[in-house]
Amino acid sequence: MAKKLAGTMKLQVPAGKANPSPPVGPALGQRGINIMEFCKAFNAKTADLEPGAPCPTVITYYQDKSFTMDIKTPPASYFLKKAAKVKSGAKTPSRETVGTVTAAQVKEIAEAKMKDLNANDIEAAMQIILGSARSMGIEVK
Amino acid sequence: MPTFTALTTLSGKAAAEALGEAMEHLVPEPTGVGILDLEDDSGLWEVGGYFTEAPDEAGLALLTAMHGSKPFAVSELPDTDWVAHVRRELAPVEAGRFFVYGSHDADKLPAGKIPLLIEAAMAFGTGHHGTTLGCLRALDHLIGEGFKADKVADIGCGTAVLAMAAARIWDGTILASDIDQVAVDVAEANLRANGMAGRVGCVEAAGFDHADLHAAAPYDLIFANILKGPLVALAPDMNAHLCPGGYAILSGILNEQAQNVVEVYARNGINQVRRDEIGDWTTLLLQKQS
Repeated sequence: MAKKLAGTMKLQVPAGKANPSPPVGPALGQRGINIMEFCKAFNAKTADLEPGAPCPTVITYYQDKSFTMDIKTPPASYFLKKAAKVKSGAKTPSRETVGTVTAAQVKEIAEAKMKDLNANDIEAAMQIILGSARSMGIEVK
Repeated sequence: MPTFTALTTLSGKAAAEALGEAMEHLVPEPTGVGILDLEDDSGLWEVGGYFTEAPDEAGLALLTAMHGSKPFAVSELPDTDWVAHVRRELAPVEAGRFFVYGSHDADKLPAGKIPLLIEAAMAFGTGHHGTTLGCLRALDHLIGEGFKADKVADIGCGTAVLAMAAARIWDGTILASDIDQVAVDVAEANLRANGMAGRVGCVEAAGFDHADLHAAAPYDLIFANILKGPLVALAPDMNAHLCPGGYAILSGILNEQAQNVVEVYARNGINQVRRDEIGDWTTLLLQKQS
């Protein structure tokens, strides 16, 4: 059936834990999108991910209130903070180091993020992750 | 948890996408960013962010200056039961003898109507759009005229609401196809939810390009709620798959496009019987020459 586009939105939704509280409830509710159907589908699609991992999700919604969703991998910053066991990045990353990760961990993160990165191979993906680490004040050893 | 919104408008989709992306880097970061075509012929798009704490107004002002948008309007949303709000918006749709409803309205089925349970989810065709409504009305009209179909195809079926409506009326062969496998899966789920599992054959196909669709032809009735471009491209195939005197119900056509579609189909031996405008959208009921 013809899909008559109305708009798109990008939400950070915790894997397996979508519910009608913010941001899902107000963002979808204001557009008249079926919140419970979204939550059901999102939680089913992210059932195999680590519960609570923040998943950027692009929701495309149509004029008859139907929708599609494209669930991305959690942000690199999430993986890096987890690997470095820190709660947040550095406020002044050029002068401050808040934690360290290993090259093996960087490769692991690059592999996990590969499908959403603009990279042709794992080396290029690792360079992107290294850049993220630097910008957060996380050192790679 | 409070929810703050910061909304603005600016011209053009690309500019809206760029601003939306820039909003994601604000601190505190938004938990969601949306862009929406206002569709009021102004060319304006709305860009909005959702925050769980008050957004940085200086950061928003900077984005306004950089992207040339109107100043952001920041507000705190009132505490709302959004699920109840959506249920009110997704009210049942009546189209002649058909009653399309979500499971939250299962207690509102009126007597004497043919119920079709369709959740507003991951396929188009909830009945809340003028195109689907127009197709259901055209079907209702045909039934009212005493038309009977042995073979029906629903090309671009989405939720399969049209195929199911036909299957509620007639006993013959009914096939539904969609180019999107997700829609085919939703269609099959809807058939099960309506106690019609297996009643309609659902296949993934572009147009009529599937062995099952070829094998069952010719059809007495073909639905195609797609868009003008694909409908025009389908016209010769439509002629090939309709039986003489058979009907086509076409939708997904903007009112200003309808005459062109009528002319293309007329050149393919399929002529207008009836035209229905709902909002910006036209539904055509056409008949192949006998």
